[in-house]
Amino acid sequence: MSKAKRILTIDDDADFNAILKLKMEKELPGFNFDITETPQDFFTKFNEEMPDLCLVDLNLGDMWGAGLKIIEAIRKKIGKEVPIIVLSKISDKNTIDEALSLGSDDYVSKPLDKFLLAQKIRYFLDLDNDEKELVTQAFTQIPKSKSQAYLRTHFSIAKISEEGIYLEAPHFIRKGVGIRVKCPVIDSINQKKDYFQIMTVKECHINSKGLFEMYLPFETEQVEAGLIRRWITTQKNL
Amino acid sequence: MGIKEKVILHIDDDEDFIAIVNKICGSQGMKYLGAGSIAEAMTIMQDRIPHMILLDLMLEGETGLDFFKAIDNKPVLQNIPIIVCSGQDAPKIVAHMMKKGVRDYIVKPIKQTELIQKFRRLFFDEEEFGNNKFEWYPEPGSHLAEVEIECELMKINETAIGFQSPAKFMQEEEFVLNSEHMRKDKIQIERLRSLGKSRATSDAGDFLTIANLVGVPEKIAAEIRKMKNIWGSKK
Repeated sequence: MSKAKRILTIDDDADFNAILKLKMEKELPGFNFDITETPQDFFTKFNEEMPDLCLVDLNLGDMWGAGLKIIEAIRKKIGKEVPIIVLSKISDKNTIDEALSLGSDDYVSKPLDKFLLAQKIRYFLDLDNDEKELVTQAFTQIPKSKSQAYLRTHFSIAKISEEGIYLEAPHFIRKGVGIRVKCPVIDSINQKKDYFQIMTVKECHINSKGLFEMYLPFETEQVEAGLIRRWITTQKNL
Repeated sequence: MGIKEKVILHIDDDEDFIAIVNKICGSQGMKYLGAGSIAEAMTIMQDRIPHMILLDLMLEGETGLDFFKAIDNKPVLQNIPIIVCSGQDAPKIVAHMMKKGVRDYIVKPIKQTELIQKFRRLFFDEEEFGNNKFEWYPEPGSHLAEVEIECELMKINETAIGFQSPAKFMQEEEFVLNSEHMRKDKIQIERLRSLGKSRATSDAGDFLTIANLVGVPEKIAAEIRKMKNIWGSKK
């Protein structure tokens, strides 16, 4: 490694900080843990030299939730450049969701699990994609009877015609597969809210932008062609 | 687009004929919109743009010519193909209408098969040769659709999960996972971030994706650890 990676941390617990630095520098040779206890100190060091990653505690002394403000301030100032991991005693879902939505990249709860934290830090800083999988611990196989699940993600709408929706993404879904799609534009035409339509990927190809374009034709009754034609003309100010 | 998705606007005040055309359109699966007057037709077209207008020339107190006046300066409506269907068969009127740009002129009474044939012909011509495309291209990235894909969870540890699905992820992507089975086993994981590219699996057309578990608190990590003894372990 050419230059030591610098991890800037903030936690009001001096004892925890000492343990964190000792354990993590041993676990991650070549990493330097720069410890701070107050937001002032944290931002002074942050501004002196931008760290490679930040570890942020959420409650700092009497300042309940101060860590969330720090995350927000970093994201406002420099965007997504520096990964942030929250390291906190709090483990309720709402707080985790809030920290992630404010821009932290991950969340590790206390007490300190040095292996887990080391893996997360390595993931963000050190390793390329192939190695990322290798560093994870052994997997436990999930029994077939418990394997069914659903994934939700967002794809960009490239085009809407009276015949269907064209989605584009750096990823693709195989042709012929049925998926559920929630499209706010179609919802507004149908005067519905948060409605998932079952659609089938009829075509999938790479477009001129180098992205995968997937064509999902409307099924009969999903949206009336007369309404969508009118809606399209209003978008074009015709 | 098949004839089933086509929308027809019929402007006519003859109730018997309206019922007949409605039935014919229904038999083809088409969406039928009826208007007894030009004003009513204009109201309908504020919300909907039909694929075709079937126009009677002699309406109560108005004529087909008034319809052409009504759509004057409305290019979107002027582009809708019109078939005139009228009891009038005077060559002068027919010629005048053809000059106005109507696509066909049918003299009442009319046979069902003939009407369907004319509709099909017109829709075919529109799709093959028409330049009236209704397409909307949003600003790139400005409009998103949420997609839900079924997947098969394969393996898990405290930091990552592997799943098989018909989607191939080429780079980092964020997901929300919904698994009733995992929830029942107190493994409440929702946020995932895929790592690199998915790989092809032995199941034709399916891909294995490894995703990081994001924001998993210690108590859930402990539940995942517990499962190692219950489900058995696999490298």
